[in-house]
Amino acid sequence: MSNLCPKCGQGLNNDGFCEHCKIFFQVYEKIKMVSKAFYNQGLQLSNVRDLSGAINTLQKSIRYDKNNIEARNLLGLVYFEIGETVLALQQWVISKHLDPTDNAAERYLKDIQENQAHLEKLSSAIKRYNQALVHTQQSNEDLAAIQLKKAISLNPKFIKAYLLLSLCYINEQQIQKAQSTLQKVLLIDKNNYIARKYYDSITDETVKETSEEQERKHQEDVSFARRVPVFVSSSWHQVILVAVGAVVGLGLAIFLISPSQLKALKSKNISLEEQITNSAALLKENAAALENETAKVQELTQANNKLETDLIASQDIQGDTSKILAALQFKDNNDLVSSAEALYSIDVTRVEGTPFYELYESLKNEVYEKVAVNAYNKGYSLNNSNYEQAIEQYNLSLKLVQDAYYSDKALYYRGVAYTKLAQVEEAKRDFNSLIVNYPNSIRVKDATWQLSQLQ
Amino acid sequence: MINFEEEIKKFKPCLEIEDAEQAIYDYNSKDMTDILSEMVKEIKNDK
Repeated sequence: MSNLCPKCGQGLNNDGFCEHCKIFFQVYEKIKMVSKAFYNQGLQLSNVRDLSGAINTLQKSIRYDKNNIEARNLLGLVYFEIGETVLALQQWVISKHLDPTDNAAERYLKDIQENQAHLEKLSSAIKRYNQALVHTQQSNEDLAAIQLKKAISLNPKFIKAYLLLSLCYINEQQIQKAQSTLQKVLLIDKNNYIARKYYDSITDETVKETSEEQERKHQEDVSFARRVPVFVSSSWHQVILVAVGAVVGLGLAIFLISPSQLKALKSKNISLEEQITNSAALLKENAAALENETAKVQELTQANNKLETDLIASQDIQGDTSKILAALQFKDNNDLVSSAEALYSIDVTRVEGTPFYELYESLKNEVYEKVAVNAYNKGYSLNNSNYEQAIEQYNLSLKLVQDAYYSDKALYYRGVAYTKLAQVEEAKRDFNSLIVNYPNSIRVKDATWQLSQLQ
Repeated sequence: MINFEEEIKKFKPCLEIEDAEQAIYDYNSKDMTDILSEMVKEIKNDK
């Protein structure tokens, strides 16, 4: 046992009591032990990639003992792993401040400071995420998705960006994309609560649809089974009882329905017939009135629908206008790919006739060509190293421009890349498309040969 | 099914690198021993 109080540094008496803090040394020791136990648990959770659980436990650990440097450093690492750069820096800086000698946090901070380019990327990813959040709040999910994809490409472990992107996908009913995005989150942090909640929700919906069908079928089978005839055991006693009942019933009927009663019944019948006639006339009147009201309701519904359509159209135009402005901003920031993506997501028919159409066209002409040629060149440089990425670049180039001097080559090289990846159908489609759409291309001969090899 | 509007409200902006310094200053580093000391002081003052 140390003779100094770990809190104030003053001497302890013989019982291990600090006169200054008025606390026994053992109390501090116990608190430190709890903190260490939480740290151990946090470490185990980190090792099995339950990062949410690890954060929770490590926070408890430093809440018990702020000087638990290992717990603080590990918490920083876990934050860094899920893309929470600032929170990681916060923990490491405090850690270094608490224990300046031989502290791993110093190394982490040094690594980050020395790699300014990486830090810039992380910073840009955060900015894009924040921008995406603003776009989402303004119902511009398309622009938000562009920003989030970029944020993820800059920091592929940015959990928050994945989650927001998946939410955008869910909102646009792109369930498969949402599932794939959420799976990426769960690979990084396997017990992420939000990811699990979203994933279960969209998976339940899909499963529910199929199970409802099965349930209906089951119900039909059950109701059919219920219709199976029931055989009642018969005996002579029952037969005799039924026969006696029938005879008694017949006797009562003859006794009660005398001719005078029949007359009364006839007059009652006539009065009932009159009532029925009156009711039928009234019903007819009511039906006419109802028809009239229904026609009015239909008219109002149509007017309402028209108003809603007009409102949606005006909102769409507003959305497209913001996309044009975003594209302009992207272009000014030299992010031409994002600019092209923003322009591509615009519905031209909605912009036509608006004051923004001219700006849209001029931007498109300027950006598309540059991005398409750049993508073609990038794809070409990746031809022998990374076929998937090469295909992505050719896709981008052909999506934006189809009639450039390099479009036929982009189509040909994409076909070749598909061939290398054994995606025969896609390769055939590209070679055939080249032969049909670019008959004068110098690559037609090569495409024909490639096709013959694929047969 | 998930309510998009409700879920969006739960997302908060991320702290940017430029805000790191302020975040460090604002960090509440009080731990259990600090709370214990405060409690003992309070009891002492009450007496």
